[in-house]
Amino acid sequence: MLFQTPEFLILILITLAFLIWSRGVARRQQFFLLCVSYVFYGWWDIRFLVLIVLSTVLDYSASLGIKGHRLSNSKLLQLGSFVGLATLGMLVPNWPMLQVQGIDAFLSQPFVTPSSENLAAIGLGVLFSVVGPLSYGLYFRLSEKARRKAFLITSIVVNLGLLAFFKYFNFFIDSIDTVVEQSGIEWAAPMLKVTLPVGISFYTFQTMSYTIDVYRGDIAPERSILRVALFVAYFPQLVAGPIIRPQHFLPTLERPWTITGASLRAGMNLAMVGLFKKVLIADNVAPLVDTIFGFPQGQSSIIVMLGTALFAIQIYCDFSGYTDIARGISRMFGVEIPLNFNFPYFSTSIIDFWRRWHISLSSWLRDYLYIPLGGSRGSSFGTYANLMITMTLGGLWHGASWNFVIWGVYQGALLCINRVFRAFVPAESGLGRALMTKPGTVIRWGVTMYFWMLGWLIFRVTDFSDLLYCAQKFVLFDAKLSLGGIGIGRGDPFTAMLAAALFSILHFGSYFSRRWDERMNSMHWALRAALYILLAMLFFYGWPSQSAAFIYFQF
Amino acid sequence: MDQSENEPVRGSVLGELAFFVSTILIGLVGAFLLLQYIFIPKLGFPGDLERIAKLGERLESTDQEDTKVEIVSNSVGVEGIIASVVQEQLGNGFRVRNQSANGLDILSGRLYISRVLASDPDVVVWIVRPEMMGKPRQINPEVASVMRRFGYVETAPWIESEQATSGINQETLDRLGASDFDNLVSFRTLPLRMLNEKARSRMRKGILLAKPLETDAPYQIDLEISGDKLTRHIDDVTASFEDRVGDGNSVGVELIERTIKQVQDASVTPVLVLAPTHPDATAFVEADRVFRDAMRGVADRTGTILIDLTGSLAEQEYADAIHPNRPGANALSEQLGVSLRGQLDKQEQDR
Repeated sequence: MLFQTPEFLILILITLAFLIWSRGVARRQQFFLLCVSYVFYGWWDIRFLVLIVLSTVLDYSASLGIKGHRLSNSKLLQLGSFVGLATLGMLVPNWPMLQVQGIDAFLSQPFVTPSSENLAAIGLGVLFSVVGPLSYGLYFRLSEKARRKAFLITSIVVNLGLLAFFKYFNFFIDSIDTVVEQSGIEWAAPMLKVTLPVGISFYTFQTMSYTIDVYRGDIAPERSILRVALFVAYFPQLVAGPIIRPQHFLPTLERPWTITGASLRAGMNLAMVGLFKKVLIADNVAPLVDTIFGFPQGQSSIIVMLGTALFAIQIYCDFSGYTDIARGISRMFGVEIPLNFNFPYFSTSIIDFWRRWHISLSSWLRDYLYIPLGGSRGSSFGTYANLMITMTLGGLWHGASWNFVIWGVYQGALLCINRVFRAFVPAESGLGRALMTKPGTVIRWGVTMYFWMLGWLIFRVTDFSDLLYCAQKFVLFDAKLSLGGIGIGRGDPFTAMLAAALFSILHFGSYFSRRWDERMNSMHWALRAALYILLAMLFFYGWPSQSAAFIYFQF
Repeated sequence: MDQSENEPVRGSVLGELAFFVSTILIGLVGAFLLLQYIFIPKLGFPGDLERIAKLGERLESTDQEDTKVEIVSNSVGVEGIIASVVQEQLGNGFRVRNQSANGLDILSGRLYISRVLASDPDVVVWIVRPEMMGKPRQINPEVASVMRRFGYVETAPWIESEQATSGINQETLDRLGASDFDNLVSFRTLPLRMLNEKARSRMRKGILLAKPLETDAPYQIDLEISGDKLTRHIDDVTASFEDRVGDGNSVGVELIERTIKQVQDASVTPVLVLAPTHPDATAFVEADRVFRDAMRGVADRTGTILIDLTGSLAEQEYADAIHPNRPGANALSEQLGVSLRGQLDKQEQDR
């Protein structure tokens, strides 16, 4: 279910009504929110809900096991049965038929056709529901240290295994196939039609952080599976983040959530800002970006640069728009979700950029990968190696493609260069002091943006010959100033440029003064009414006929 | 936290919601009214849509005394036919007008011809291309909305009965059958479209928009492609034709035949003209043969005049793989006029 659809609006209104009605009863609220979250996710494809259920049960029981809280046999039986029933309930009926073709088609074929893929998935789910409870007891026969590690490793292996299978299986097979083919060996690669479950990268990282934090002793394991399930599946941020941490979210579940007039207003304003970014900016810039990078060969440097800048606006507004909507909805419910973007395009170094862009992912990578690898505690070489490993895997996290791997390597290299530069040019040196002045800051900003934009090219242009062409045009300016190339194709140049200009003005205003949602919160009612009316009119005229899914859904 | 702190200010929550919803609704109603009373009347419709919208206006100014010949085609006719040149060949007593509009395919063309018939012409010259064969392409949603707004549905009562066989999809039917309100809302992006159209026409030098009320030469192309670009275009066109033509037995052919019969039922003389394609499209030969055979079959079965202009232009008379350039338009119009004159005379003698 997409945020910008009527069915989502209905879902939000129902949820708001229920939360207001059920005030004071946390458990009732949590159960309802969990149901809504499952409906939200299942709206896309019910079958993949089983993965969320599986992760939830696994991490709930593993974290308790780590802390030595042994679940009773009846509780284990309940959990096992729950997973088994969820597997059968979600994988055996022909839900795709119902969701795509309607009730009549579903009734004519109510169960899925047995195939090796279907049977394997059902078999694995049922196997987990049986083996899980049995192995749980066996783990408690180990020493405490071994048991803790066994539970942690099981959680990490299963979670990463699911992620690796659903996201990277075909990518790895394709890559192996290419290597084998080039070496002249005859080999028939096993190809499976694997559909990528929406948001799997986000909720996998989120649920892993819960178990790891319990293992590290940073948080106590949660006794209520309902709360763990809601933490894993909380719908505003389920499919594209921000990746929330258990220590931020779980404490909010200890008391009922309260909706007030102020929280509702603040939430609606933030969600409106997000919708504005997504629908009016990102979706209106996208067609021109597609036109430019659809057939980039032959385009001049100025057009390649323009396309890159527009893509930078598109991806920022798309992703931060989603985050704003997610945070706004959660704020309406009375719960804050952490900030995910902090004006990244005003960064003055790559290190600074990564502190401002997709903050929940970069901090996750820092806390659960970079620091465990050794961080910057060892030698310089070790630090650079850790940075490269972290960023390469961070790149791969974005998608199963060599583009993202290269993008990750590129980001790692930029971070290393940034660190080397800082080491050679200390802040107190002459050059360091010069770079801290206003003109020096502008230069640092310009250099940062130039290299970041070059990175966006790697991210956006998936065909390698096109990428090489675009990178060449980006680096070696050809001095052709005609914009004729963007007038052909399906892109709407005026709308895109208008959206980009509007974004730039509003974004500057927001950075140098206050965020727009904060301004709206404290506006006089008449001014706020005028702004809502203006926004409604802008949405009416500027909402594209074909609004696209959020870019980060694919990650 | 005690319960009094938990107690939400109910009035405030409802008040915020009511304030938000009411202001948004005011904005939407305001935008709708502006669209209805300011933007659509003042701005009209972008480029090619405006020409489809203005068909009624062009038809109303018919001279009643002469034999009325209406030429209908897509961009090939828009760019490649000069009505005055055709008329010159036909001589006195004829009133030839070029009603072609860009993007007309088999489904939209069928609706278009039904609307042309409502103005009681004597002859309808329909220039067809191979891509009209095969499974019909869907009508562009904006074209469907314009057609709904400008009376095309009223002159095509066959739409409903033909839904199953013609392949019209649900979105097109919804657009064609939309209420006045829904039809108006479907034009909500019009102001931005108009601004984009202006921006694009400034950037794409040499490509002009068809004039909405022009019935002689709606426009003639100034931009010509050559070299690799032309080769690529010929390859693309050839591949597309081969995909669509198939073995010559398709829904598209059936729809062309039905349209011809519809013209005849209205006591109007239909003339089927086969459009030319660049001679370098050698790979197109087989598809060309299938296309011509299929159209000959239609003409034989319906007793229609068929004018085959497929190989009528030299390569220097094309702007690209399909569209004639200025000299090409003159040559094509002249050949059409000569052939039409001969065919109409022959038909007259046969009577």
